[in-house]
Amino acid sequence: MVEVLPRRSALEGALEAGTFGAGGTPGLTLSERRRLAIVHVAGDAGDPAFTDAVRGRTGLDLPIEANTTAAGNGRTILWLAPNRWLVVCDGEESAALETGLRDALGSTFAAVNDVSQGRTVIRVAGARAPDLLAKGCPLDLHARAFPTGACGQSSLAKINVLVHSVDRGADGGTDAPILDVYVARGFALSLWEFLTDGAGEFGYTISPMP
Amino acid sequence: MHLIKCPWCGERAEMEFTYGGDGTLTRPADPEAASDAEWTDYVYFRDNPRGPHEELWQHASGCRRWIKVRRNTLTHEILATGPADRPLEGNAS
Amino acid sequence: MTGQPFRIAEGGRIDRAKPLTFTFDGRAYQGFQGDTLASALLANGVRVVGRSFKYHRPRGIVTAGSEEPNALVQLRAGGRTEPNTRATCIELFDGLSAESQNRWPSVDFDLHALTGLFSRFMPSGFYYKTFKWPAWMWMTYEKFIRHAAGMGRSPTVADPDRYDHRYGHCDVLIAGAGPAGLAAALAAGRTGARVIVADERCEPGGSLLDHAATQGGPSAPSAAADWIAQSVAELEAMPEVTLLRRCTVFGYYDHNMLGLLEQVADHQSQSQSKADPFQPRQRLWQVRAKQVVLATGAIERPIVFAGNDRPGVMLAAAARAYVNRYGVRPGNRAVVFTNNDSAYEAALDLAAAGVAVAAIVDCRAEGGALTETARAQGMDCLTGYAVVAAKGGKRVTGVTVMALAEDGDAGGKVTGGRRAIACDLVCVSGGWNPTVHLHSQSRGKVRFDDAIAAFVPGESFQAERSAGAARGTFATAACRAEGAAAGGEAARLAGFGDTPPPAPSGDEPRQAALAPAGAPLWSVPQAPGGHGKRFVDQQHDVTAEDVALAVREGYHSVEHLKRYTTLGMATDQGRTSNVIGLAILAQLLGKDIAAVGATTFRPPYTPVCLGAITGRETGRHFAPTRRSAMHPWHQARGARFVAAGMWLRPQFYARPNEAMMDAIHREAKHVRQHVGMVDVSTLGKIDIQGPDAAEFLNRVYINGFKKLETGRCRYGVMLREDGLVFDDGTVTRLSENRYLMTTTTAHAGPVMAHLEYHLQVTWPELKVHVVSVTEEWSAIAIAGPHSRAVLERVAGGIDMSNRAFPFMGFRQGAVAGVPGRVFRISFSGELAYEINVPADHGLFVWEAMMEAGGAFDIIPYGTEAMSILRTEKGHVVGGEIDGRTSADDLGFGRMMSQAKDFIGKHSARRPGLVDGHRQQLVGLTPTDRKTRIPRGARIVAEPIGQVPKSGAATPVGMIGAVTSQCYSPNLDTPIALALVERGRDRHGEILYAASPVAGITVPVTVRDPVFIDPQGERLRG
Repeated sequence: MVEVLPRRSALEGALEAGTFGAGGTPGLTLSERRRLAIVHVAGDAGDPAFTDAVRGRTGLDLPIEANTTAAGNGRTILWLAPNRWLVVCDGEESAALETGLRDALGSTFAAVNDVSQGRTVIRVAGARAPDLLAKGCPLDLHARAFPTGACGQSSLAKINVLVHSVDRGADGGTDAPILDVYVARGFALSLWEFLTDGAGEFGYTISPMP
Repeated sequence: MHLIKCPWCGERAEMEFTYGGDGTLTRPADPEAASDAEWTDYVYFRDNPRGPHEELWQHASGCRRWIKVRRNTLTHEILATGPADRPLEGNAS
Repeated sequence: MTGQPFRIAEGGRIDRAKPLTFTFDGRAYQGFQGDTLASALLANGVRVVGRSFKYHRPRGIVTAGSEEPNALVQLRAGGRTEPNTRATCIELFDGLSAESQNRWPSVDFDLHALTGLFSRFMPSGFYYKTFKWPAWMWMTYEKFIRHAAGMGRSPTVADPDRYDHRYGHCDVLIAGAGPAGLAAALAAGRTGARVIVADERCEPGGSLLDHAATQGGPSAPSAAADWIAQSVAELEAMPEVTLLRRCTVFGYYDHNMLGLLEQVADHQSQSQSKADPFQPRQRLWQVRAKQVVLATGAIERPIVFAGNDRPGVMLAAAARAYVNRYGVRPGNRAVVFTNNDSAYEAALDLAAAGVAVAAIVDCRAEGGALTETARAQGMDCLTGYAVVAAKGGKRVTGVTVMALAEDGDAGGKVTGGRRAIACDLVCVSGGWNPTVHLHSQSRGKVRFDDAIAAFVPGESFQAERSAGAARGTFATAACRAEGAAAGGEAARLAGFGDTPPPAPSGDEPRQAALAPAGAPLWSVPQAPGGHGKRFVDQQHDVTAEDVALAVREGYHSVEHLKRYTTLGMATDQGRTSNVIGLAILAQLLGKDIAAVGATTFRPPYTPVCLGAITGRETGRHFAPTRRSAMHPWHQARGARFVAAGMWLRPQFYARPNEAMMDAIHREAKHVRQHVGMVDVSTLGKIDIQGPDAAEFLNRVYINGFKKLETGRCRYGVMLREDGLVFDDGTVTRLSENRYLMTTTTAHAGPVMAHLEYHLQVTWPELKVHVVSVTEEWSAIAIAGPHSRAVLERVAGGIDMSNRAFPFMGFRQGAVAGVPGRVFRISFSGELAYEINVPADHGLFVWEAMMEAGGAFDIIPYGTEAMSILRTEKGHVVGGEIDGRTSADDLGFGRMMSQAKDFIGKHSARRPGLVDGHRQQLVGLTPTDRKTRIPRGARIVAEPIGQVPKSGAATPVGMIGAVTSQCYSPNLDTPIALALVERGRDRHGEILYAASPVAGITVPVTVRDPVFIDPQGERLRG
């Protein structure tokens, strides 16, 4: 039943595809990653039953090191805390992922929560992407400090965010970074307004809705 | 603005943290058995040292872990940080 | 339009092919690209650019940099106007308009200058002494003083320009791009370290730019100019080096955080700015640097003598900069007055530029290294002499020179005959102060170095070091060497490179000893019979006599002297005056300067405008806002929104031509009679899982949760550890080891942190995970007698019958086809449900429910109606849970479990919280059932009649206070909740609600706080 219901993004109506801001070659592209399945998993990283169950369901090893991610099979696991992770899948049904993880964990002490609709994911891509986020985020987003695969939670425009360094470009440098910003749904529009206002200086493109 | 080393996330800006007060307190294991004096010490009485002080902070915009921070209240030097559920390494001064 | 009579025919770093037109005090002038406002004014022969703060004396341009004390102007007009802007830092642009400040009616004829005639009646502390009594008259005095003393005007309309912020990170931050800074940047940059170099001027090069040898160009190539150009080119080619021009490092904060102000577009004309509307005018940087190199240079200081503030008296290095860098003669005939060699270089450059040097007055008996060179050029060098007075009014017309006595101490003693020398320019050099401000801000110590008679950086506290003139090293080659060493060391400590950087090479501009030899001359005493003012701090009009008076009155500490005389407290923060003031103080006290000590340097180094501090946090970006999924619907229905924390919540939905209170009362009445819906997505929702979840809940709530069955909800109250109420909400048991907690909107964050604290710190052994799911779920409360009927239409899969789904029950099931959660809980006291659905479907479900409710005349209601409904039902919220009330005060005493420990239990039993005299929650109605009970009214037992509107004493015998009040449309009477001493024993008593603010006292009847349906038949029906 739910499959036929369209999910309405917090940015519905706010995303207007086109090129905006200063003239010249746009310095970055803004878009929203929609219809992601995002599941919050809490558990004991030292408990093999827990880590095995997550690996069994996702095919990925939980990233144990802080501020790192694991990716493969169209899935990404992002480190949140020593006992918390986000499992993110594109093209998978979130309820199935949640149930699958819960079933795989069985009676293991863990907590699984579907948070797909409580998070909005804004993709900021392009050479000036780190400069845009640096307008309101104290994280060091330089490629040396925040390479491909890194993630970090911080504050952006006074809003709590999780930033995922998806790709730092071919040379691993500042060529064409792709940064995903995870934000609580209620703040998504406010953050979008901050980002689009701040991006004017660089010139930016908003990608059409997928 | 302080730079505080979260034991997990590394050095982060102070704005990611919230202050949680004195980090040297332990809730009496059996509050029923605690004397009024012990309880009052736990709930109300706080030292306000000039110099190193052990404090609780929460990495609220980060991993949400509560951490212990030994901070010089006079100079704002951060002398040590660690998880909140165990004693900080090193001496208090 | 006039010519530029003082412009030199050629030379300088200005572009004569780009003439610019500007106005000063309404008059049009012309300058060139590359000018500052100050250089352009000098080129046009404008000498008086402002009036002084206290005495309204005419003032001219003293410096060529950010240390300028006098030439403060009101820049631009309208929303872009900026007071107290230093003409010496304003890059000229086409169409620039500026006005002089602090003059009335004009800078040339200023009525307040009459003050100067009475100035002997205005000693230091004058205002403190004169206007502090009677105290109530201060408000009147102040207006006049402000008018007389004003420092420019604040804008009265909003600034239309953008200001931005950004965070920065680097391995090495270098403040200053003079010889030392550039060398440091090259050394650090070559290691591959991430480097930020910031310099306040529009081009790197520092003091080298002011030297004759650096003017370069095809006609006059120079090694120094080439070195600057090559260095800049190399730095700009390094991907990890950021070179910021027009960027002042203004503050050095904790843990190597530095504040930078980048003036991105201040130098552009309006049409240039218009071409790029997205560019900020200024950008405030907060940079976290692993290591810092301070290459901030040195500032020349004047020598104090009578009339030293006359327009035309300027620092020698400034005069040198004007002739060399800007191609401007600051005068036609100069007298140079110095205690060191550097002013000789200025004299030689002035002469080369066609300025007649009437005399070099050198207080040193033997002169210096360049004295003979000057004499060889025919200059009259008076060694062992001092300028005792400058003559003239709106511009200097000459100086009086006397010999310094052989036996004179550091205070100087003049003797012999007077010699008058005519001139229109006096170039002064009293030595150089290293710019130690940032070092001092970083908690680094400063020490007084007798060799150069100035404060130099001492021990560092943070990861910083100074290099070059900022460290008291003045020769260019040495500055470069020191800079390179400092840059290399900083990079190495940040983890880059370990080989020493190559030593700088190439020829150098000629060097001069900048340090005054022997005891420096700080101030020249009055000539016998002289009475001219000898200014120490020109911006605040503080004289040497003021300092002396303060010392006589006992202000011996530098901090006291500063505050009493206001020395160094103007916008220039005493850049050119502080050290002289200290020296005079030390002389008067017979102490060493080192023993007197320096005042503390604090950020900002130079003024930072409020726009830059605000950045983009204005208008709709002032603070983030949080919106529910149903926000667009509320907006489309004309809801008025109210901020609840960061959330925007619908306050009420007015119909066309409906007044606010009418709308609120209609909504509150309609819910009890029919049905209404309210968006409660803002309530905190915390998912609690784990085998110890019930035990955990037992420990954080006063009541027990172990017996709560799956599929049931329970109301819970949390205390703080001090026994006072923290928050309330419901807990629903979703499954065996899983619960859903709700919190109030206001406390969602604090409750989450509280739970995390106890799980991580107090009871880490408990196997429980808490996850905030507030944002995942949209929450809709539907309340009113028809709520069940509406729900049955959209949630047909759930048996809604009272037996199958009783009050405080919970069911999962589809609502409008969306898998959701339905809770039978009530805040209003009506039959009510709360529906949670995943947020992307929230709007859809809300609309479906509104449509299904159409047959039952459903309405949306806002927070105001919700507040009335809960007040009618006696539910407590923030007004009652105010951090001072115990569970028993609010009527929850019997909920407190005796069988278990919980947070706050021990404290809740202390005598002060179980005292029978505490204030308890009651309801109130006015005895006439008509008069509104004033907000915040005090409760008194005795009638006290009309309470006067102001100045009234607190009503005696206060026994409580109103915490919530409203008109109840359902009872047709005003009602209130209040906390009243022994309130539960007073039901039926008549008390008085007194409001000194509203000026009324209302007799009220005390009653139970539940006004509606005390038996709960409606919500259980």
